[in-house]
Amino acid sequence: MSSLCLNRLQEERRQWRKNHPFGFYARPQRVTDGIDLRQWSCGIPGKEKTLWEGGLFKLEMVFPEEYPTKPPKCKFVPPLFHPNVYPSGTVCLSILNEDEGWKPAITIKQILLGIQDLLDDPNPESPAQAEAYNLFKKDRAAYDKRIRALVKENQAT
Amino acid sequence: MVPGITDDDAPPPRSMEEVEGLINALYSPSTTPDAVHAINRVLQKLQRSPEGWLLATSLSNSSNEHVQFFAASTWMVKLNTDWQGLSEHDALALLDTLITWLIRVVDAGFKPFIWRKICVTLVNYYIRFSSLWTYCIRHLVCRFAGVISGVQQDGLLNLPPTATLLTTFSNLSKTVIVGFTRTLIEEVGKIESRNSKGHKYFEGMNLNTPDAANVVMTVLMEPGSPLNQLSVEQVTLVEEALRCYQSWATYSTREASEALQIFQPITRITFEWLESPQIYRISAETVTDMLTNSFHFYTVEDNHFLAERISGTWGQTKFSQVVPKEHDDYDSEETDAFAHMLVAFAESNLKSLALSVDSHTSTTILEMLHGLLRLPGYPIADEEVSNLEFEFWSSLTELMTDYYSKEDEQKPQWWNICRGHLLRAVQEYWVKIRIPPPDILAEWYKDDKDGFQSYRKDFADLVETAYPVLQAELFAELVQHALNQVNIPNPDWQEVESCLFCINALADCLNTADPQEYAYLSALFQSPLFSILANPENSELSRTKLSAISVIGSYSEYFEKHTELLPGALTFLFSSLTIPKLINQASKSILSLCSSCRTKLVSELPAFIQHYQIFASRHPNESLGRERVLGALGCLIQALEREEDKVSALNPLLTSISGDLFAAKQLLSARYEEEAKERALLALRCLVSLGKSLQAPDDGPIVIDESNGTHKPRTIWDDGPGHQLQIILAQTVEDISGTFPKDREVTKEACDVFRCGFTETSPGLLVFPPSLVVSFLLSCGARSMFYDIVIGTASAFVNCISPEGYDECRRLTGYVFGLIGNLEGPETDPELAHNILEYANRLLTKHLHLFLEIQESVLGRVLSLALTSLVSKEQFPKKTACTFWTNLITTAGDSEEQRVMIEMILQQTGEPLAKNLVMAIGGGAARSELDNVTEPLKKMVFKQLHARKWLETSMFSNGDAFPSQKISVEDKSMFLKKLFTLRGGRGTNALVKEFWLACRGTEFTYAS
Repeated sequence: MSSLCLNRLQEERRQWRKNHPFGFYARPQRVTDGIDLRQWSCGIPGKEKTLWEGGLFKLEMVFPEEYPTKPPKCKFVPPLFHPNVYPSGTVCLSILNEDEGWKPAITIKQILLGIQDLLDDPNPESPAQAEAYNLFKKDRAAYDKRIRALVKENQAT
Repeated sequence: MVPGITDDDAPPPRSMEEVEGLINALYSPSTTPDAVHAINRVLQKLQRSPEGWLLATSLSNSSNEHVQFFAASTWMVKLNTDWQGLSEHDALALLDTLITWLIRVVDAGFKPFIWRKICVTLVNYYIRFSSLWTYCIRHLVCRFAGVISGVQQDGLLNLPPTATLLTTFSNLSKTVIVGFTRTLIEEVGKIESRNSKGHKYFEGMNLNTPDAANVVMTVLMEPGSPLNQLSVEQVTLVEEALRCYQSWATYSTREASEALQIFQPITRITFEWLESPQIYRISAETVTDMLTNSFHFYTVEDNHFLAERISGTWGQTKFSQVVPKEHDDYDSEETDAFAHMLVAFAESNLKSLALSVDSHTSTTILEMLHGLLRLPGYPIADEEVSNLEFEFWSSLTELMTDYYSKEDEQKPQWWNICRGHLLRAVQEYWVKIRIPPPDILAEWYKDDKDGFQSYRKDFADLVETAYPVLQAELFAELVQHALNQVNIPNPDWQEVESCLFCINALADCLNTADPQEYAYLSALFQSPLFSILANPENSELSRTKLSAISVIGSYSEYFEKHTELLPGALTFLFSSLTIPKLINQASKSILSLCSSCRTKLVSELPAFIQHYQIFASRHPNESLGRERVLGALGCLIQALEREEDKVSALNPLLTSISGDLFAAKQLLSARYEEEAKERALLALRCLVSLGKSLQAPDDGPIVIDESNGTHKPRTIWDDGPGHQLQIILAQTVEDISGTFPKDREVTKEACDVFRCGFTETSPGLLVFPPSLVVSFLLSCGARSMFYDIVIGTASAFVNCISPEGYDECRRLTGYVFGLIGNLEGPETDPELAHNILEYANRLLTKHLHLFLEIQESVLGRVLSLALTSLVSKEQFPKKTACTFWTNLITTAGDSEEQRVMIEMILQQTGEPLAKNLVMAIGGGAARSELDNVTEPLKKMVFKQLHARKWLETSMFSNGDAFPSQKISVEDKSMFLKKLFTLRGGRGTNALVKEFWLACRGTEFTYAS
């Protein structure tokens, strides 16, 4: 791993441990002989006072060798029912796109908060999965009900 | 009414008295918000007017503080907006006015907010006119001392030194000078210094640094010993000086300025101030901020000196004062100040502390850190100190593992001592995470509860991080503590709970095949713990039960190896289903165990089915719990060897689900529509969960089907009792689905029941004959418009059919492609278009002969939809169409006949296809679609002889076909040339992107 990437990830980890938003978690994955700093397991809680409140959604963050020049890839595991999440689970968000809003200064905390915002505020301009997108557009009541069920299945304990 | 204000277009005030009246009204608490708004508009207009300068000057003569404050604001406004209009002469006059005014205000003893506002105004003046006020600090000091007048700055060097002059000042005057010096660096520090404009400020600060340091040093040294009693004014002065020091140090660390050298000697003096009881808090905060944000400013000697101070007499005395043994008698602010400083020091000096861990200093500091963890009270609600240390202990662990990661390596002494400290810290924390008794919990606010939960999770993180260092010893201790309690008459259940919580956190840390920890787990699971917890009379133990349930679920791998303990664990879990709060976690753990240990548990199946029946009758509406328990039972049924046994085990479960359907119908006839639907949905979800668990597990034996679908041995699922069950089940699902024909969710769940069997290779309950599946889908399609669900299920079905299902597949294809008739284009119903194309894709790639045999007219409609979708605005049909064309171009065909047919199709569609692709890459597509559109283009370039001709025609011959006027014929030719040189290779995507950008025009950028 390049030293830039490594140093940045170590600092991100330090900063996260010192101060992280309530209900979130983010930590490098455990591998046989220690941890893999380039693969993080994260949890994003649904925002208070939204349909998503009470849920906790698991996400994997994979950092490329060129991080922080290039953004990490964020993927819900299992894939999430959401207009801006690809069927593979990958999140479609401008700040995670190298050609769009990614900046090396964006922190893991900001990414996770950004994705938390996206949960309740989908961007219909860049749909990533047909099912959630169509339901969101055509039948909001049914969409909301789906979300409530999703939250129940993924309760934060 | 406020004088001078009548309405929005109020005339400007006519006299200074009127202006002052307005200002007083503005700050008066009795003025209404609307009036404040109106007054503000009038006053702002005045401030921005050319007379603003004069207005400020005359307002500054007022003896009213509000008016004075407003005068300073007015100068700020003018300096921000009109400063370029001032001549050098006027600018110097302004400086003189501002300084004279400041001196007057200080002499008259106005409130600090006035002189602070004037200091900010002066700094703003410096930022605008730095060349007219080069040595601003020194000049201000000399003016205050009265040794010069005006704005002449030539002779400043010949006057007495700053330190001498300051001794003649009142404490207030000194505070003002320090306040200005601090504001100066804070405001200038906000300016970006890495450009030519910002560089002059960097230079300017370098010139002022010696004066700033002089001011700070003089003030901090003057009171002599920090132990002297200070007056209120002196306290304010020293506090201001400490903050000023910090601002200059922070600036110099960031900008690598002169101050780095010049301010460093002051660092030790700031440490001295820790000893003053009056200044302690502010100086501790200064040290903390420096350690956290400007650590490199401190030299090795500084850190050493600070370590001595913290671990010496002062630190130890202070520590014993601020860290009490009892909860009641401490000032949390005093404690927090010490704790923050100590933790910041330990974090920033981690390595040296660890490597010299047996020294007096390190030992004392580590003992203090332990002491903070023993502070009385619950974390967050009572104390906010212990959570500060998570980062320190985590970093220490990382340092230790970085040095020596291999288990068998000989560890040096420091490592072993640090390990001892780490273990102690974990033990100390572990007392902290105990859940308070209900009466205390009832008094907590939501923030306290949330904070406490978060604290426990952070601790779980620490335990996991520390485990590679602490290893099985920690595990053994956790288990032992829990057992000690379980084995006494009145156990401390909070302690048991905290042990279980930690054990749970360690579940992912044991990564060898049969770890040492399993022996400890056996001791725990063999103890009376679960039988005590299973006792329904112990209902107050729900929190401990919850953690015990989680532990069982987390260690399912352990139970795979220790099957003798499974029945006891599961009995406990099933007993927990009687408590509503525990259903969620208990059903999760039941599913986890039954899924991992399915073969070991088959003998328990009858008993578990009974448990389920009781549970379902008591909690009929517990959807998730019932789904999971049924899923668990399904796993066991899947593991049964004999198909007959599976059928008999499934019978009572399906009967229970039929009961739900019956209940749903009763509710419906009583007009409880919503409740009826929910019950029906629950029945379907239970079936889906059962169906999924009946699927062969991924790691099960692979059955190789050599019969090629022709001579499969018949089973009871083909024509025996299994088949009967299937027919009943299919009818049940059809019945539910037909009862709620217009309900999207019911349709989806019903289709999902059928989906469960699609990928299975062996016969089973949900592996329906194709005719049943297709009949169901067609009747679903006939009664509802949920095409995405019905066609989506059809696509999944087509993906998996074997030759015996081909006829049924033809029926399905006829239905799906028949729907194209409902579409005038993809825009009419993008969802339908997308799903039809998705189906076409599956058929094309999985069963080419079925695709090629469809009627020519139908095929024509499919191709036409796929072509128009490429230029549609709808993203999903467009992306699916891209995949469709990519597949069609690359399909090889199994026979010569098929190859000829595909070629014919491509020759007929090649030209319109090329035209639509060119439309897309010529700017028609959205940027995010470019990679999709490029795929068929690449394949066409690589595989099709006529590709060049088709693409050239689309590019050049017809003006309408090309959406952009922004590129020349030469550009287009060059693009095509490069495109064909790349032959569909990887560089094509970048080339297309470039071409698209050029077509859209270079001014195109993302709206961010």
